[in-house]
Amino acid sequence: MPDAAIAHSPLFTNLSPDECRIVSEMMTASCYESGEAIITEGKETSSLYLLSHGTCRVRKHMGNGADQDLDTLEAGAVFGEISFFCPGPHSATVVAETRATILSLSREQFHELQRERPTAALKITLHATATLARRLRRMDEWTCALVEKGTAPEKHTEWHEFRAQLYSNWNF
Amino acid sequence: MSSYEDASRYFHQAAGIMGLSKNMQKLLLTPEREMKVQIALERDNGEISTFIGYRIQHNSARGPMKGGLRFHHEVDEDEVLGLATLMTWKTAVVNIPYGGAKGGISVNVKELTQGEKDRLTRKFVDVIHDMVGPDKDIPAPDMGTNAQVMAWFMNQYSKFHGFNPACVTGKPVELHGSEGREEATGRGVVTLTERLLNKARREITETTFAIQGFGNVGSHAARRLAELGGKVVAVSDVSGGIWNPEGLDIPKLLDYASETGSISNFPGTDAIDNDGLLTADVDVLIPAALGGVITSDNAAEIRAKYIIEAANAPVTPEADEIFAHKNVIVLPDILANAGGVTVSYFEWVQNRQHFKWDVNRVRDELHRIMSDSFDKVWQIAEEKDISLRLAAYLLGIGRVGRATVLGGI
Repeated sequence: MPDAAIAHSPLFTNLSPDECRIVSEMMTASCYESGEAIITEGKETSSLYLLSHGTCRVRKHMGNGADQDLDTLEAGAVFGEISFFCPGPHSATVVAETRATILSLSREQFHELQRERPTAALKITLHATATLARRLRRMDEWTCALVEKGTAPEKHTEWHEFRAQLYSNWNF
Repeated sequence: MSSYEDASRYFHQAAGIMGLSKNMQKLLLTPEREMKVQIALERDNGEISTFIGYRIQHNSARGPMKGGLRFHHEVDEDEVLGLATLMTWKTAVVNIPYGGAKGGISVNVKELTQGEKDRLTRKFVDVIHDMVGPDKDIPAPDMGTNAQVMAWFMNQYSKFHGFNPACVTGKPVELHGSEGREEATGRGVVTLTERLLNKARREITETTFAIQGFGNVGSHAARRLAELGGKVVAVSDVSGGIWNPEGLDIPKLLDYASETGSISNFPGTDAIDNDGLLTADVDVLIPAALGGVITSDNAAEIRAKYIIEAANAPVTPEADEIFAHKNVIVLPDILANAGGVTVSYFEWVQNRQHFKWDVNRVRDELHRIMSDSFDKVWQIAEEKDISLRLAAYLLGIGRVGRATVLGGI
């Protein structure tokens, strides 16, 4: 059985103790120092990653040349699922913020799991789908906020606050 | 502390209460245009003197800018800017359709002959005539200038732009000036004082007054107070002060002052100095001369319960705080001495209509504007539980702010 941090990972929540053991045995553990990239935007790998210890940052290179932090991952978080299920370059970079231990499951191992323990593989797929769905929902919210910001009728917030103050409390 | 800093201190206090952002405070406080000019003058003795003149236009959100033109050796950019901002709030407090400006020439006016003063005024008009005018910026008399200077101003302005008496106010009554302009500030002071005493449930006839300054403002205030039965017990001018606890005979004093040119040695009075006048045992103190005369040094000694700022900024911000703790009520300059600019406005209105009002109409309209403005400021002070000064600033800043919002930037 893997350590407690992994056991509490949502990835394993619905797995039976036996499935849990098999999956964790399939996974490879690697250590990363703070600042080291685990996956790099634009590069391709074919594994699913589970953050076992430490904290990581998800970072994206923006059109204006700056790097934008998108998220912070804590122990138990799963990442790399986009390239895992849809082979292609990573959409963002994940960098270890602290010293971090990562468990990875390669696509080949996952195919093996599908053959050997299809229920466990389905549970992992469902979990990864839920993660993707959550991220898609958050992306929708960001898109809406960006659209609102870009097309809002009034961009001059300060001017409007000024107007509101002068016409409410201070209009004698 | 500079004049501008002093003037902006109250602004920032009020703007802070209103929760205006730093950027909006900057927008309201930054002057629109500052003009600094050289005026070279050939003196009667053949010497060449060079003077610096200023015209600072602070804000025109509510209308053409309005403000005095002073000839005084202490005039500098900082002082003119501070006074220009005061004019913006002042015209807004009394709700006349003007913005604020101020100007002046740094010159010791006592050293100038009448002819030199005439030429100096005209040379100043020559360099600023494009930025002033009835729809832009309308100067008026101030320290060291008078109706005669305004007449020269108008005459010189008309050489560039044609006949247009509304380009300046405070002109002689014979030359498109208004009846009641000279007495306006003093009369306004008394209307407001009456209103204030009324709120305090005091009768003017049972109230004693001390007035610092017996010029255009102080003498007219004294005359009007005496007419209403008030007891003026002390007055002073540059020559010193006089005191009679039984009350001064103001009509006789006015005659005496115009005959002798000063109030000193007026029969039946004791001499007092200016400090003595300020700390005299009276109910109401009216500083009607210079700015900065009541400071943290003498504020604690002042016995009056009401101070009417007939002059501009006679009470320093530090003294103002002391009075707040002592429960002394200070009627702030931007309201107290606004009678002058109000009748200047009437003069401008008459000039533009080519129709002359009689003195009673001027006095009635002045009384209406002063009373309404006082009531508004008093109401704000009560509602918000703040001083009359902050209430006046809230009213003025609010009006200028709304005009800015409506007009856009």
